[in-house]
Amino acid sequence: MIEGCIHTTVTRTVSDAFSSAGNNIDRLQLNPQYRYLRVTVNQKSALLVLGYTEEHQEGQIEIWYSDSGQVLRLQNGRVLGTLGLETDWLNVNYNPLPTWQEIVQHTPISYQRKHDQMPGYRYGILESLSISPIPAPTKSEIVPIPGKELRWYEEVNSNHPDLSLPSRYAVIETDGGYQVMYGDQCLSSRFCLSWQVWPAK
Amino acid sequence: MPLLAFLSFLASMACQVSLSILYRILCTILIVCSSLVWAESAPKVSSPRMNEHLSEWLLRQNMIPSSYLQGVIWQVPAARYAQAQLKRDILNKLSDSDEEALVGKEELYAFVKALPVTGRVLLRSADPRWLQAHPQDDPILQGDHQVFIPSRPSAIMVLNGRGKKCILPQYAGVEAPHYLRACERIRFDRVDDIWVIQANGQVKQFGVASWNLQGQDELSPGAMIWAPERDQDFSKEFSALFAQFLATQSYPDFLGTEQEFSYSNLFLSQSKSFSRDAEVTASDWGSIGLLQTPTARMSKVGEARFNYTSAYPYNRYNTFFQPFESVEFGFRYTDIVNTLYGPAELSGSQTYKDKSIDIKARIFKESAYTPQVALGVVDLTGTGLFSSEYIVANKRFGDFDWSVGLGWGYLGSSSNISNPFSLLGQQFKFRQNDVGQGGQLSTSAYFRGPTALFGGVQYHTPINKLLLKIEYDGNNYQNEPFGNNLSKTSPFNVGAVYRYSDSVDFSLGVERGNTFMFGITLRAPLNQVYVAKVSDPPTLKVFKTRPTTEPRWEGVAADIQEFSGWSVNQIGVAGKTLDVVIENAYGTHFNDRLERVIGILHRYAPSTIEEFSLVFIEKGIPMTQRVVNRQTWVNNAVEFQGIDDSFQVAQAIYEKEPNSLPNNDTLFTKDTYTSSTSRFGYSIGPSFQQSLGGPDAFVLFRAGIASQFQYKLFEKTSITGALNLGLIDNYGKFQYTAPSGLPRVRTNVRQYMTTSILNLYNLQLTHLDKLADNQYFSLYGGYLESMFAGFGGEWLYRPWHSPVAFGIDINRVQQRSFEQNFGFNNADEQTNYRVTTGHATAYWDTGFNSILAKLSVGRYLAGDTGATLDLSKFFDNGIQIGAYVTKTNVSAVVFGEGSFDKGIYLNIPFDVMTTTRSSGAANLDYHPLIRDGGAKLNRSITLYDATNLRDKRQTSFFPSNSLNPY
Repeated sequence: MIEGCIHTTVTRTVSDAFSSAGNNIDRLQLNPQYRYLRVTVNQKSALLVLGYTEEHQEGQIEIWYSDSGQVLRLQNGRVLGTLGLETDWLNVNYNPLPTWQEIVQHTPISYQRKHDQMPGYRYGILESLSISPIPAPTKSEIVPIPGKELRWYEEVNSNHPDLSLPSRYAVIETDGGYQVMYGDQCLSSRFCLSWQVWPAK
Repeated sequence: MPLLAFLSFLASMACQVSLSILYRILCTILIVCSSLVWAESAPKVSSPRMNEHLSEWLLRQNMIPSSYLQGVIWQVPAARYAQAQLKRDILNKLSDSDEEALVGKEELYAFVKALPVTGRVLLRSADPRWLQAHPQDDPILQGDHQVFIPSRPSAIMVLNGRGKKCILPQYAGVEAPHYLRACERIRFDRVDDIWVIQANGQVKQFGVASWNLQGQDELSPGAMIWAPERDQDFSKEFSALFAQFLATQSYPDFLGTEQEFSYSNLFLSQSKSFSRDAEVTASDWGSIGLLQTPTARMSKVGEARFNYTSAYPYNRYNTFFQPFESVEFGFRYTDIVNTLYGPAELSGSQTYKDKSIDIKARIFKESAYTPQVALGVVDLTGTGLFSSEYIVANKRFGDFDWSVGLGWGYLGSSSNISNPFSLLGQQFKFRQNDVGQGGQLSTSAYFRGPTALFGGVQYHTPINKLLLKIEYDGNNYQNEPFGNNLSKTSPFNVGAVYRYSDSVDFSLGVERGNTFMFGITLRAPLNQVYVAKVSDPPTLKVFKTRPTTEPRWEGVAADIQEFSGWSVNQIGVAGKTLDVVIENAYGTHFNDRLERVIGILHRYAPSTIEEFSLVFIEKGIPMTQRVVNRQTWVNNAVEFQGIDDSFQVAQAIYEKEPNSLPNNDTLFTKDTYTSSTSRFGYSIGPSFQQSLGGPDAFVLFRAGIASQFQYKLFEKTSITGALNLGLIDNYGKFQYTAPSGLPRVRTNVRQYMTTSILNLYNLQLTHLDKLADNQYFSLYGGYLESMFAGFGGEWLYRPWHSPVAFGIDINRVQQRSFEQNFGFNNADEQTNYRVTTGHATAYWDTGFNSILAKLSVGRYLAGDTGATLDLSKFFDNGIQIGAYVTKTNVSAVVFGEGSFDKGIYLNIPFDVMTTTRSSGAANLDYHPLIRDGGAKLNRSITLYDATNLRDKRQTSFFPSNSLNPY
């Protein structure tokens, strides 16, 4: 509505407050040399760029960076750590970390996750998790992926009351197995984020 | 070893899910074993390669699951000197004869003396991938540095005031008070404050006693707690220093060598409750309190609070501020819904609105044995309808916060005890409120007359957001204003507050036993307001490389304008120095912009340039200067700077007083005067004016569009103006013109607001120049403000970076027409009113609590003479809150309602609240009554504002965000 008018500082701020940053991101020209991840927090989206990958026996660890240097670690599409966010998870350990092949074939699967949470020095938080398939949710931050059949899974935390919402993953079958295209998770009762392989195709 | 580490992991995980006592014993054994395992597995110190980044070193290490990055210890020999001095200071304090009261100081002295000076330098993070993206946090290691990654311990340490330790297992979800209870060497009931030193070296102080309990961080494995007992009389300053020194220690040495594991595991395994901060909430009156009664509590510094409460027949609109830790003040409109404002022909059916200003000051802080005590005044200068004074004490016991106080006036109207001050004289038995003109300090009424005891308790329920309140009310409601006495079936009021969010509270209650109360409070921390600048181009990343070719300097100037909003007048070069002259260096966050400008200069300046010299001018006059050592600035931007005092950071930017404009080989000059467009500047934005509490309507407002413009005739001479177009208003209701015994210099405000929707507020010609060193003058003429036109001059003495300044202004002005156009012939009886007005003003930045004091003495618009005192407080982010009073030789009777001029104002720079950097600000001025006495000419250009760049404080505000909270 305000777009196109002469912007003052105030109207610009109002415009920023009510516009979806995701719309701008969707129009961005991407550099084909980079891999991107679309991360959304509080309805505001940003693109992260893959900085490094580290080989690990339980699956490759991807290290994604925001423009301001925030770090998101993913392993097999799961959050393995963050740094620089409002809430961060450090030292995330799954015991055991089920592969998506196992999850697809044998759900529900139960396992444990231990992590440290900052700020607040909440070290050694232990969670019992269970993952199982769910129908495609009606509400999520996912941008539709044309031509892909997504399988949705929900990871429920059975012993941590602070996490009010379960984690969700949207997975596609690939030639070599399965790939997480979208996930959302609350790192605390006040801080949730979602991530999606970008562009959505 | 990996097997033992795995056992340790299993033990700590299993203990958290186990509940049986037998299992706890097993856990204890396992944890003891695991601690020993940890001690055995302490890694060897590793020396890095020369000049490699810490991140590189970390990535070269063979990380195993037990590698504890949060506990990485980096030791720098050069940091040992400062730490040795710190240790000496601590030992000196312990051996100081003045500290003889210290119990067990000998043991602690021996303990401290045995501690090594390690040279440990704290890191913001030791995650190598994060460090790679933050080079300024990623130190370059030298050959004599030592780094090691400890294995993740499973224990923490508690240290008592005698230097005796407890080693305890670290549990998730367990806070420091539980560890203290579990430690048999700590007498928990004698500990008030602790200092937690986390494994990464961060230190925080927490209250742990029932009277000062705070929300706590948990403890990371390897953390330490310094827990002196209150009767050991360690000062907080000593404890903070000691904790700082402990943070330099290699904590594995503590945990690994100690063989004492004496603790009660029962306390720890059952400990899942979380400590909470004391909650303070607003009363019905807006100040911190229970329902009808105040307490001695204060909100956090910087809080601003708007609060609406309704308990028949009173609706209260309260606005309160906490500018200092121990003072809150605010103002209020009380709507008495069963009483008319006045005769129907004056105010129709509008109900009565009473204005009042409150202040409360803490006079004693709570301690373990004594309560917090505050003294307050309600309706300090209003009509006196609700005026009260009180002294109140609070003592907290965990979730219960008890208060008891004595109230005089409205608060004490039940007169349930005799006035204790009556022992001092009979005059204290009687109270006479000045309800006439209001506005005066009723010193003859304070603490006199009916007195009542009041008090109550606030209970913080297990539902974290819910508070319950019950109070004994000292008011019997039989002495209400206008004989509006109210029935009361109980002296007790009960209520609840639900803290819906960090900024919204809802209140409900039953008062007087028969009246429902509802309230809502909106609150915000002014000192923490910040909005990310997402609409601005991001700050340029800094690289060490320098360009080898000459840039297009017009483009550099344009980039500086785009990134900072500052206008570049000239760029030149003199040897290895690049001189940049900047005009209009507006905006509150000066250094934020300065860093962006330096980033651009470094990006484009040829490699031969070693120094940037930035001279900031106003109307061509040099005001201040920054000289930047380019290489040091780059090093500071891309190399490790440390997060505490142990790491010396080289100074890159020097503040200087400029003597003249640079004389150099010019590379770029702004083309200011060759075209009319480059001389002309303007801004357009929304405008909003409002008037509260008048007889016509509670809120009178006008919204529209405002424009400010400037046309530069010469460098030091310009035409400036401001236009306003009203689009929406409710001025149809605006009928009332206040009576006045003085020339109507301000009380014709209705006519000025309603006669025309298009107003020329200001159109003036101004010449501003430097008279001599530190002396400035301006001459101006035109339509100087909305109600007066004329001419005048100002002189200001303002030394560079001096806390004091002094100025004189003198003006000859004439009343303008109500239309605020170019005419003078439509101002009713004020037509052709002329007056000479002016002031001598002293400015003093007191340095105390960031308070700026201004004292003006002179002649006001109505011809009255007197003085205005203006005190304001600046927060670090640039928000300013202030109050002013003016007393002139006009008597209270002639002045009219309010007795003398006064007001409260809040200035919020757009820099803190908009998504783009801006020079603007929102000015909120609460001026309870517009009267003719004590009215100053509102000059739109003052020398004090125009020379703000000479002020150290004005160039030191910074955004309240931080890079990383830990």
